[in-house]
Amino acid sequence: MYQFPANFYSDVRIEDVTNTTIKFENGKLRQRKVRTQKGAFLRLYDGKRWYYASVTDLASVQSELNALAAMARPNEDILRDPVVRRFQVNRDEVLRYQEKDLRRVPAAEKQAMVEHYAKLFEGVREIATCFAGYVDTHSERWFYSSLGADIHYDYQHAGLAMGYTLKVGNAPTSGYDRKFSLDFEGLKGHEDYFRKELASSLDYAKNAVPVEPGTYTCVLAPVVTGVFAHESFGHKSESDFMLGSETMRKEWAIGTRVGSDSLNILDSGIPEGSGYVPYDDEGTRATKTYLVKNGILAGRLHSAATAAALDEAVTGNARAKDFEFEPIVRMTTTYIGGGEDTLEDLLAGAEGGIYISDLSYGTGMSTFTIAPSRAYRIRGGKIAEPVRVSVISGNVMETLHKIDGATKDVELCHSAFGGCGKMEQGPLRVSDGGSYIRVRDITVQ
Amino acid sequence: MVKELYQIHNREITLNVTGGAIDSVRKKNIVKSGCRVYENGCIGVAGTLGGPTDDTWRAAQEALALGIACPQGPTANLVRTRERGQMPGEGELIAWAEHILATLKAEFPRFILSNKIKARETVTTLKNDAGLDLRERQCQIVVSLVVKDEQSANVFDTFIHHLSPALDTAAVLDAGRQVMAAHENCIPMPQAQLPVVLGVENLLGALYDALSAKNLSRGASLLSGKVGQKLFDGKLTMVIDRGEDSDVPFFDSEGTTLPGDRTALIEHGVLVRGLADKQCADEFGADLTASGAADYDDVPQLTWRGMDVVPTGTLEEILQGGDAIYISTASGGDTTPAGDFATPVQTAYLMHGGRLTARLPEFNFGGSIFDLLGSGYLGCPKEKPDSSRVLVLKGNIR
Repeated sequence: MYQFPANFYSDVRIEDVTNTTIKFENGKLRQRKVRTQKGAFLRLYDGKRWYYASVTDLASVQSELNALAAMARPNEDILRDPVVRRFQVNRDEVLRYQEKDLRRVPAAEKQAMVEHYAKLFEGVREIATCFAGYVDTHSERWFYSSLGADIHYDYQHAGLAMGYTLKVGNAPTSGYDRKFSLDFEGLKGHEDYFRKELASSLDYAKNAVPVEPGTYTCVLAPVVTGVFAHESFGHKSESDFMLGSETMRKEWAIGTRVGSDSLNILDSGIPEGSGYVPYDDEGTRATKTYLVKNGILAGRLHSAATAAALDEAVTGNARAKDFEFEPIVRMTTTYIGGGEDTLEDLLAGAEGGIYISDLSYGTGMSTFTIAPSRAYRIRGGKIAEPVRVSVISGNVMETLHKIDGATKDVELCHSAFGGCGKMEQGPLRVSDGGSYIRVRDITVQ
Repeated sequence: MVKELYQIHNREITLNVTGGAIDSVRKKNIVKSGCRVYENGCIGVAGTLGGPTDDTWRAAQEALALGIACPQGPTANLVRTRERGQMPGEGELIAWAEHILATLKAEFPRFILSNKIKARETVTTLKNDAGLDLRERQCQIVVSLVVKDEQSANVFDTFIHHLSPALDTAAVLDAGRQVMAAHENCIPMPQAQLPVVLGVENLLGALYDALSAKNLSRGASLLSGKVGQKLFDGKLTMVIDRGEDSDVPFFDSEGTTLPGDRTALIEHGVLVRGLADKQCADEFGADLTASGAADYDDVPQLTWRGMDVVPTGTLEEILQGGDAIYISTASGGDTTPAGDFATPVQTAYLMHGGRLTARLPEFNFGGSIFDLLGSGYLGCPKEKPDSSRVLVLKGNIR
């Protein structure tokens, strides 16, 4: 074990990560890579300033810790520091993925599966170019602190993606479909799904017409709702953005109404999936945080530093992209809770509106944006003709009040590809989700 | 068999800024090595953190059996080194950053600054036993500050972004002063339809897909079948630039270099060639454009890195003394398959005489890329506000 320098707070996070990447492009193998990286991120705090180091030589952790201590000023009162007092001292081992460890599946077997899927699209004359890609990650993390924390947990996931550009209509149209699993077996048997998605993309490419820009009522599919939850409100709940601003603290006082009575937005690292984080990178145990409960601002996401600054409790949201970075406030699994409507109810109340069934990506801060990959007009209470939309957007705080319907069942959406970006740290694996929701007055371009 | 070593060595000192003060210092010094082996038209790659070991070379050799094609093989018989920028010491960087933060705080007390100030050095080397020995060392000072108006309820209000090869106090303070002074002066949207100054990266997503030699050849590009045609305004010349002022090494990850470190993709509005790495060049007969990119342990793949637009004059010359709207933050824009670009604009400023003068309300901007870069294209200024290449365009403001 490490000799943590006296009169400081310090911690060590060690990561052992193995990734596999396989890519077939137009039927040919273009990438097959198995990468194993071991590294450590060290933090030392003297009550005034943090000192960090990232190392790949694990034998050097002790000497690097000592070097950080030499840069800092010893503080005999460090244990009374409000940040240090918020650190939990957990000792735990949570190993859920040893039995179906992705590292034990031979790379050749993974390659054979990707090649099998790649062949699904052979002979489809409308496809100009295509790829089939596979990624997996198995990681183990160890966390030790000068307070006595000693945590070891594992995580893994695998994903399959099929991308293509279709040569139909008056412009090439791209499609991208993917599957997620916590083990290798879970990626098998999805041939019908990929065929069906390709058929939908072909129909969309052939028939979609440009949308008339304007303001529309939109019905969002769960995958879109999830990104909306993440982009529209999740980022606003990351409390590092509030530091130093009295105005924001007043505007964002817990108890403020931000939406209708039926609106609930939550974040939790507990559900298994790409947002699973049983302990964050400061050793805080995962919890379930209501950001909005019954339309009222109920909580926000914290690291120890932001919790201390705002005199609130830690939430398990201090996360780092990898061993090269320090933990900052990030989401885990962020979702909008369900309502009481049916999809038919939502469509019936959105005559002339737009149904967004899938998306390319989203962004968000004060204004959220979503770039739909498939969108349709709503006519007579039904999903009608496809329309091409560049982007939908709205002001976050105004839009939350305009959610006027949601179906009951919440679907969590996980992804092995991409993730959330925040400043220099991205992509970070997260999950999001929700039900079908209806939102009025969305700007559509 | 040819053995090749691709290494990326990153050294970085990063200062985190919270509430206008430095609250952490992060040091990074990481070497990543990729071993490549070429034989019989195939490539085998394996990587490791730190220096290569016998095991890494063995893994690369075993990867040859995967049959990943690289018919052109390695680049050979080329030796060149380039060094750019100066890496400050840790104490020097901290003192400099403290001066910048204190000065801006004293002059603009209503704004709260946060995020990062960093000094980074990247040494990229590519060597093989066929006589290739390329090395690029680039140091950059990156000032990336989030600016929040103390009186606003926004998560953040604007940014100060500045990249330079060495500590440049005057330039960073000028960038900060311009942004914050303009931000304090909020005015309504001008009635006149003013030209827009837009970062080229906003259009790169659409252009990258359209300009890929692979997509051009397979009919998967909006521009397929149009090589040799004049598609855009005659003032538009788009290039791959790996020169002194670019932010990429003079060689790509396959060791390909360019005559004069530059090659044109669109020349005076005419589409002349697509982006091509060795695989594209081999499969589609395309000209190499030094467009191979790879992480240390990847087989190189096609990239847009190095894409740039050739300046046509100064901002003053392009705007002929008139005003313009500078789009500072336009997050979330996208382009439809037909080439219709649209984006919400979160932060924009009125620009007069090439300087930011006032903050404008949020709006939406868009247009067909053929119009924006055609009849709506006014030029590309030499200046780089926010250290980014910008274009001056006429488009739809809503």
